[in-house]
Amino acid sequence: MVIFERVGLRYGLGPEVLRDVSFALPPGSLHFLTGASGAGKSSLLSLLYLARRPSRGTVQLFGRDVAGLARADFPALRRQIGVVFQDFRLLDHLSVLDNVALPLRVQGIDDAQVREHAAELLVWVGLGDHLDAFPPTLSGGQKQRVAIARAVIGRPRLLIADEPTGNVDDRIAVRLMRLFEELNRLGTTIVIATHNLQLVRESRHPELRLEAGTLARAVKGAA
Amino acid sequence: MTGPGGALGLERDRERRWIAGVIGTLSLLATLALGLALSLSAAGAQWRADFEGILTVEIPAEDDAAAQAAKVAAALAVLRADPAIERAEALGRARAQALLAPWLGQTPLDALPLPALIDARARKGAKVDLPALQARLDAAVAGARADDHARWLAGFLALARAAGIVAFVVTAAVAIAAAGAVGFATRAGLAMHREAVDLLHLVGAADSYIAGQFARAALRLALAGSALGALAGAVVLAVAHAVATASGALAFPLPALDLAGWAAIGLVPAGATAVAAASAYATVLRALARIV
Repeated sequence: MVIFERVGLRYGLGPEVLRDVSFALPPGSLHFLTGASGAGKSSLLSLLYLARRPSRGTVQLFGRDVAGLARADFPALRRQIGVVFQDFRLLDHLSVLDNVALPLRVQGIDDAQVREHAAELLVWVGLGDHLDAFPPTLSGGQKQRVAIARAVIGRPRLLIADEPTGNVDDRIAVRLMRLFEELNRLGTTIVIATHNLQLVRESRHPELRLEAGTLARAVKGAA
Repeated sequence: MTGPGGALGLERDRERRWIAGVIGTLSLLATLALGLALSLSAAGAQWRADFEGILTVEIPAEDDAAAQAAKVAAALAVLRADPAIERAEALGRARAQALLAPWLGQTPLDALPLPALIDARARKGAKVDLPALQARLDAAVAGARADDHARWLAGFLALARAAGIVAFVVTAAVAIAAAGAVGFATRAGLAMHREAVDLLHLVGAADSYIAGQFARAALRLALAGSALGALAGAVVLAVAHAVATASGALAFPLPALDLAGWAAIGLVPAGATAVAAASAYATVLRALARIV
């Protein structure tokens, strides 16, 4: 599903923020990505959701080497990846329903079908009575759930969540984790970046730990 | 629907509304240039049809009316003997005075010697050999001058062609300026909406989808601006024609635009809108090609 081999990443002419990172994520796995602030978690995630190409090394997604991808190949690959951003990245001028529908709309899918599917998902994340609300009127937890609904509406093969429990209370955090585990049981490969080590300890899933740009620990399930 | 203004909410940008004013002004200029060129072209076509096969022979003014009448008769004989000429008739003194009235006003001309004029018409499809006819007139009537109006008509047609070229150049310049202005506004819009554009990419949008968002926004602004600009131009053309015709200020009659002319004017907003949308689309594709 995902293979990183001796991956390095630098921004411009600056120092490498990721160095010799190697791991593999089998299909249907769930991994936590941990590390202190500045360890390179966001940079690694940006490589996973194809916002960047590596400066060196090999990144393979769904069996394809990212370095060899043409620009026109990216949309089809990105449609197989769902991302829950730490800052949600909801579009304030769109309603909750339109935000969730966005990944399907950019594919040109029939609008009636898109609306029905987005509404169902919003009911599933407990926001069925907020379809026409706009993001600025929502709480942090509600925005988080909208972001999750948007990330999964395209039935992605790989789901990446950056600090999904960082803005919600413990009760919501538990609910969100159950949501991710349910998606994982349905076959979605999941990477969750988090500072919440208790969450990691309480889980049976493996951890990828970054320290100063290098992978310090890749435990069970990660080669 | 993806909310008002599509996924990027471009129609909510007040900062980009100036583009409608620019496109409107450029459309006004294009409409005026096109209207003038079409009017001159129609006038040329009409005059060419009006003067097709018409010949005028001028006999110089004489103090002796009888001598002038004899010359007119001799010239008529030459003209009527030409197989290419269907008919030839002398214009009376009253008609000659009427033709001179626009230049001399209602001044009594009875005391003035006036040239005599003969109006001749060629047979349909026949071509009068003007040099040969002039040679025969020279031999029969001293000072007689035949004119098929080709020389001044050629000058007028050249003017109409020049106006057409000017209109084409103005329209092309207007299109280039419109494309440049839309390109500038689109680059500003891309910078302003960079985060949303990045998000669209990350949720799987192709460049063409994002370019389409900007093209649609440019299309709406350009359509509103150019429609108003072309409408204002059409009103200016119609009013200017009516005022000039009513006041007699024109040295020659300029026909009003016909239906085809107005249809051509109607293409100005369509063209401006197409240029704006294409410019926005191409600008976005070029800009996005530079990022991952």
